[in-house]
Amino acid sequence: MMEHMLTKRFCHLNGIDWIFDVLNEASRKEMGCGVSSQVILRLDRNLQADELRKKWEDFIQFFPLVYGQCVRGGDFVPAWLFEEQANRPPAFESVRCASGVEAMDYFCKAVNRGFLDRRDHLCLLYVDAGSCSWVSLVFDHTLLDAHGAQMFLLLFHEFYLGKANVAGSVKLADSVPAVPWKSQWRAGQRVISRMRIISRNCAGIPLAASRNLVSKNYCFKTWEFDQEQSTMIFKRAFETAGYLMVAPYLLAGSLTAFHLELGGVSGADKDYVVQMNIDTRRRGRSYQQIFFNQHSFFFLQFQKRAIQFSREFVAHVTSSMRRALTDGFWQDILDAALQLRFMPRWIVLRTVRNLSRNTFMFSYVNKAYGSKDFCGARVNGVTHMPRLAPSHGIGVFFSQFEGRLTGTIVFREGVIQESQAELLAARLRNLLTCKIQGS
Amino acid sequence: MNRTKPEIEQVLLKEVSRILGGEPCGLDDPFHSMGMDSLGFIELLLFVEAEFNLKLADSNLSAGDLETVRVLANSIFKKLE
Repeated sequence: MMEHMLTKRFCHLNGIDWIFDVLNEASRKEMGCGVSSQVILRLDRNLQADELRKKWEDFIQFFPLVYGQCVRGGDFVPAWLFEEQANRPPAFESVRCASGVEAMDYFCKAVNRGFLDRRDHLCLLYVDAGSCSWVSLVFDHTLLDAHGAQMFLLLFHEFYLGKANVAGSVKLADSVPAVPWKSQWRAGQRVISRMRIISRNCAGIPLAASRNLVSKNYCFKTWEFDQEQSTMIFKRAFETAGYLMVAPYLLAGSLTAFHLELGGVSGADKDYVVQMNIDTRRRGRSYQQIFFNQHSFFFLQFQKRAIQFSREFVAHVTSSMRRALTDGFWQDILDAALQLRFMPRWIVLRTVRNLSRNTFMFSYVNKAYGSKDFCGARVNGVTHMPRLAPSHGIGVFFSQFEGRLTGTIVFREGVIQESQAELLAARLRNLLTCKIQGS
Repeated sequence: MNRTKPEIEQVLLKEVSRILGGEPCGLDDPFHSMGMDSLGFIELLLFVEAEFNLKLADSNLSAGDLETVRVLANSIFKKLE
C-alpha cells in the first residue's frame, strides 16, 4: 500500500472534483484566490511549533499527491497529476497572537489569501496565544472536502503520536465510476430541468452593494455556544424535530433569522433555496476516502411566507430533507457531473453558474474530527471556515464537537454589511437558545 | 416474515456500520455519540421502513425509542408484533 501511494503518478478525478477545479481556476483568475476553506481546532494549551513543523514535513512526505494539479489525460478524463516535491517544504506557518479575536482575524486573512502556486493546496497554521493555541488546516477544494480535511488532521495527529501506519491507511478512490453515458446524459437533462425550475423563483439578496462586488474577500462571523447552551439546543432539536434531527432545527433557525433580518430585501413571493452537501463516503474505513470531493448536493426550497421558527416549520424542513434523500436528485448530480468531465472548462463554468441560484449554503458537521486530542493538547472546539457562499447569498455552517456547537456565517464582502451580519448572528443565537413557537 | 429481536439487531448493526463508513457499532452505543448526523439517521429510518415495511415518520417514537441499536430493534419488534 505504501508503494502504491508513493509510486503513483496520477489518478482520475470524479465529476464533482472537475467542477471544483474549474471553479477554483475561475476564482483564482477573478479574485486572486481559489475555492479554499479551513478547519480550525481550538486547543487547551500551546504546542512546540518546531516539533509540529518537523512532524508535518515528515507526514506530508507520504502524500505526493498534495503537490498536484489537474490535467487532461490521453483519454480526455481529467486526472490529478502528482508533482515532484523535492526542495518544496510543505506550507507551515507559526505566529503568536495575544487573543482569540486576533487569532480569528489572522485565520480570516489566511483563508482569503489562498495559495500562490497552483501546485499548493494545503497549509498548516499554528497560532500560539500563550496559555492556549489554535491549529488550522487551510486547504483548497480541489484536493479535500471539509470532512476529508478533518480526517487528514486526525491522521496527522495519529502519526504525531506514532500510532498510524500513514501510507497504509489511505487509499484513493476508484478511477472512473462505471456509469453508462446514456444514464449520465439523462441525469444531466433531469438536473438542468430541475435547477431551472428551482432557480426561477429564488430569492437572493439584491442589495445595491451586491450588484457591484468590488472586494475579493469573504467575511466570516464565528461564534461558539457554551456547553449548557449547546445541550439545550440539542435537547430542543430532539424534542421538536426528532431524535438526531439537529440539522433541520438549525436550518429552520437560520432561515428564520435571515428572513427576519434581511427578508424584506427581495420579493415576498420568492422562495429561499438552500444548497446542502451530502457525504457520499459509504463503505470501508473512512481513512480510505480522505482525498478529493466525496460528496454531492441537494437543494431545498422554502416559500418566504412559510418561514417562522415553529414546530410546524421545523417538521416541514425535516420532511424536505427526507424527500431530498430519497428522490435521487443528488445521485443525478453525481452522474451528470461525470459527463461534464469531457467538456471544456468554459462550458462547465457557464453551465454551473447558469444553474446555481441559491440563497444559502448550509451544513452541519457532526464530529468529523474523531479525537478529543490533537498532538498532546486537548481539543476544545472545531470551527469550519469555508470561503464558499452563494454570490448573492450567505453560507451558514455549524459543527459539533464533544457536545459543543460552533456556528459560522460566511458572505462575500459587500453582499451584506458587517453590522447586518452582527445582527443576523445575534438573532440566530437568540432564536436557537429561546423556546420555539408551539412548544 | 416474523423476525426475532436478535435478528433485527444484527440487520441494524450491519446497516448502522455501513452508514458510519464501516465503523464498528455496539448494541448499546448511542447513535449521537458515534457521530451519526441527521442525514445519516434519516437514511437509517428509511432503511428500517423499507426493510421491515414499517412507517416510522408519523409514529410517536421518542428519542428514548431510537437512540441505540438495542432500543430501536425493540421498538421495531413491538411494531411488528
